[in-house]
Amino acid sequence: MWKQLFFCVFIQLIYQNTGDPIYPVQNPCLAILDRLSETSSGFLNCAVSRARPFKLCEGCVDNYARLQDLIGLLDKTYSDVDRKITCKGFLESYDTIQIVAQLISFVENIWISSYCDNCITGYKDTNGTIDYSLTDDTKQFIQKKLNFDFCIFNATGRMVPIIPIDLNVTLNTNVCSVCLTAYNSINEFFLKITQQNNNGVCMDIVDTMNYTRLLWSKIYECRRHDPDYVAVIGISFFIPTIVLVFYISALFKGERKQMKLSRQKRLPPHSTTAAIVGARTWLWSNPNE
Amino acid sequence: MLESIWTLLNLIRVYTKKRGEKPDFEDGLIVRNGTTVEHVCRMVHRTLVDQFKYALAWGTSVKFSPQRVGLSHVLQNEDVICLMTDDESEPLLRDNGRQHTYTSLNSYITANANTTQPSSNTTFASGEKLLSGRYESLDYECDESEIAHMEEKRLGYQHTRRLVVLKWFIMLLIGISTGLTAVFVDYTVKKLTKFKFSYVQNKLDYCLAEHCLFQPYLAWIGINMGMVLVAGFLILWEPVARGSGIPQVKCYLNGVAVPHVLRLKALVAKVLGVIFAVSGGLAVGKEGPMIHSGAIIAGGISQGKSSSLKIDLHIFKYFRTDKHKRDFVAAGAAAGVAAAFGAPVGGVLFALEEGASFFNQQLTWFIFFASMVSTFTLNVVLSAIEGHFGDLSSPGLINFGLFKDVPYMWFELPLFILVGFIGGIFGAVFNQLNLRLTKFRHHYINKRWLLVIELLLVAATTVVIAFLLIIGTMNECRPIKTQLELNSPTIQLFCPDGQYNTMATIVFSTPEQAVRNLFHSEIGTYNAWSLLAFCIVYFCLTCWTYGVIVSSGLFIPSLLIGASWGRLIGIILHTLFPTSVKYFDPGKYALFGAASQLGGTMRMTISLAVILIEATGDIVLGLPIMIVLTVAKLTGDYFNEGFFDIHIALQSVPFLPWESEAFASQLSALSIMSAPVIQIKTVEKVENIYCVLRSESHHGFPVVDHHADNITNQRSGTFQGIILRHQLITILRKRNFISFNDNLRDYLTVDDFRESYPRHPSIESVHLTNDERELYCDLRPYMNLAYTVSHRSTLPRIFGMFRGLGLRHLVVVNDKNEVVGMITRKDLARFRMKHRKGHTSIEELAISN
Repeated sequence: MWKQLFFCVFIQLIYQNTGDPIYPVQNPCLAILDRLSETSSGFLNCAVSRARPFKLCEGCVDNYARLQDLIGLLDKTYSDVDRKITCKGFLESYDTIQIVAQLISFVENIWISSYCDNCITGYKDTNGTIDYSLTDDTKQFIQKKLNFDFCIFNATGRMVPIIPIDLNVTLNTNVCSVCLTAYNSINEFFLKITQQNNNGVCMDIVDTMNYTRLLWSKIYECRRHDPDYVAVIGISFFIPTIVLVFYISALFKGERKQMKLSRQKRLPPHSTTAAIVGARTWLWSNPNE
Repeated sequence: MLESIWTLLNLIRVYTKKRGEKPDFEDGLIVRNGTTVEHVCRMVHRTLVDQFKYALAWGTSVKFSPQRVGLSHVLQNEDVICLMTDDESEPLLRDNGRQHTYTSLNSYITANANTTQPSSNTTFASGEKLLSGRYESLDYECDESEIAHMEEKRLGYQHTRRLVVLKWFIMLLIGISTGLTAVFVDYTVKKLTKFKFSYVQNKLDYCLAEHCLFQPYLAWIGINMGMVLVAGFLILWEPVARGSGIPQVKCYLNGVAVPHVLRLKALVAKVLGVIFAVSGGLAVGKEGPMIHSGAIIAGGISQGKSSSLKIDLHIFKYFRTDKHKRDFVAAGAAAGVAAAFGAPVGGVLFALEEGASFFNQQLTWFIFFASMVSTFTLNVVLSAIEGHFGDLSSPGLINFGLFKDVPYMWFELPLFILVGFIGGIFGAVFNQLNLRLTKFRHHYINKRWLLVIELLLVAATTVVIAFLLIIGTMNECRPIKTQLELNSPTIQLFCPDGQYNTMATIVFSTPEQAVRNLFHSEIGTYNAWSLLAFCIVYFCLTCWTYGVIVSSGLFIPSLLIGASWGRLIGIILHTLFPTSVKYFDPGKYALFGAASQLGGTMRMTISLAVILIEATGDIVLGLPIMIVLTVAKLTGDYFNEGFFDIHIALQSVPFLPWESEAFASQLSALSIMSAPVIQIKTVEKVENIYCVLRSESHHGFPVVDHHADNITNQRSGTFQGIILRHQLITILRKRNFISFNDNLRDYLTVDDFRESYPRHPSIESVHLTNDERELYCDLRPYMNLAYTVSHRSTLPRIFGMFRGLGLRHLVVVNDKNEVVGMITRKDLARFRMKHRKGHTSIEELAISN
């Protein structure tokens, strides 16, 4: 019953109240909804286009900030004059699909699972312009990445490819030795960040690093290890040999300890005991009697 | 000379012979002249007459050799006789199998025998064929003496209520302390492991490029050997902390006083030992030692004093009896399990199944309380360490991680049975190998320096094997993808940057993390061949490691072995049926493999099932876990006993199982009991008591009424009660003597006897003057009105009484209530069932000093 009532109210809100002089020209919630639709599609557009190479945090922060601003507005704006129903309630609580709620959680999920807050802080929307700042770690990382790219450019004479996978040219240059310091610097810095941020490293950085590593070890084929097996194999044979010697010598030289047996008191061996027990069953009978 | 003795005594020798074997000329039967075959049968065993068919006789008494003779045939000297019975089963207890004990069956023969029994009183027999005389029983019996009754009346009902409140309080303390200990162990192990691996890994990363691979290798070996050495020295300092501790706790709860088992020293050695053993990279877990630690903590807290530190807080003194202490120790063991696995219900069930022999409803609730407190103390502190204080939902020491959305279908049930079967076989093989190895160690590696060297070699070899595994699988790399992988220690080694070596990650992490990885890593993480290699290597390593002088658990290594072959099965199924990805999830089969391996080794049932269900947090997997465990236990039991039972037997502990052996009802009290018994009169001369205590090592003496027939000193007095050794010593020390013309008597109270618990002074500490020796002691107020049993009772009945009531001494009386003999735990535990080649017999174990 009351559902139908709400429905009627809803219909009225949409179609009839527009002409009412008390209400603004358009219901504020519907205005927000319009805005939400634009901003969210803008964000999605941005996010998908920056999925590869991954630059979501840096690239879409303005869209995201605007969206956040709007979402904040949902709680503050009311759909009726009595200021009882917030827009959030108005948009979300009358149907089961709850498109707005799902949209919000989807967007936030993308943002949070990319750990974007770990490289971009203080983003806010002030009158349409977005202020944000990168963290110090991120700035340093970007600087190191630029150094690395510059080094590669110097060594190979080519720009670093944006997508390293489709570069199928083997380069016989001395990239590995020339850019080793730049590479090590960025690699170690990344490991440092990983250890500092226990809850997660910004996905922009992780992805950049992944590509850099792929570039380094797959494309330029820089290997850093060339192990010496002789010593390792020597030790690996030496210790099991000692073990064998130990056990065999223990077997031949070891003394087996003798255990002493204690004599137990059992029934005293004369027939008077049987008499004491008073149990003269056949067990106790003497065949000679 | 010898022959004349024989004729004089009218004795002849008859040799028995088994069918198809040579006559046993060493171990003949000595019978009187003119004995018939029937008597020989009875001598061998009394049931033999009923089953008798015919006998074959060789020698002077018959015309032909052999000749078929009947029951009434009279035997002559040096005859050989082969008894044929109706069924082919051997008699249950063969006389020549009995070890150096005179029993009722041949008692009247051995009276004059000077040559029959082998005279050697030493043996090379290994532990499980002996009972050790070192172990005493605990007094789980209620004290039923007059002074106890007086105290009860004096204290009144208020006191009982106070005791209940105190018990709750102690349970709370036990839970909290056990939880904190678990946190300490966990935290320290994590820190030490992290420190070690980060050091080795850094060196490794550096040396891969610099041609010095042997450096991190040697450093790794050195660090592990150093840590393990510390663990080893701790065990040399307090040997009872060796191994997992579960056998010791089990024995204690069964009623055997294992020396030092509840000492503070043992706790220190246990906790620090396990920290260094696990950090030292051995294939051991820290869960078993947690159980022992919990038990020690409980034992210590409930007493309110420490004998080692010589601190007595004078609280909880009413709990200073074996009976109360046992309940607390059971709770402590449960709290240990609860903290180790994050499984409070599993803890209670563990105490029920493996530990406590005596249980009641109220105790169960107490124990559950202690387990819950322990688990949640652990959770609170761990969450505080991880930085979100107040989060009660952080789980126990091992956390297998939730199995979400793991469906299984009916057609997988046969597969579960198969997994259980494999686990049972592997478990039995593991137990058998470890049994052999333990015997070997017992016999040949029994000096301290040999033990330390062995330990160091194990530690070094573990590193070698780990290193070889890593090098062998150096090309198995997986890209680091998820955030989880990024945060957990991923070892790159020979892999290209941004990827990690899966095997190295298993080897470099603690076993718990490795189990979790095997359970939850996605399909395709592990290569089947390297998993197989890992499984075999780790199986051997675990088997080898258990028994060296460190305190070590077996739960986690077993889980790891099981998880690796379980995952292997999962991978195989997955490749066979690539379409049904949903069901043949390797992680799920890793879990079942782990359950099955653990069940096949330990042979625990309900507690293991509940522990695994609680640790995975998934009740849906309860049915398959139960199926797997049941099958594993059945399969394993076909081959040998459970792991801890084997180790209890190896330590020669007089352990009483739940029930007596089948077919034991032919043994009566007469053939079990010790006789003659040292008896003490109700009013006994001090001199006599002193002499008895000096010359005998027994712990309980029957108190008898002064009997009229005192001349021959053969007939016993009527039974009045039992007095314990420590009570007598206390009476002597307190000089509670009377002379016959005294009217004023001053009795000791229960407090006086409680004072010295649990380390009672020895008789050597008592010095009496000559005057005092002439006085008397009135034992009537102090003696315990103990249980008695008729001499006709059978072994199963006596066994039931012992087990059910937790007795320490059981007096055998005849029809006139005169003391005939005494039965203690060792008298019962020495009969053990033996199955060989389809024959079942009861063997009797010898008792060593």
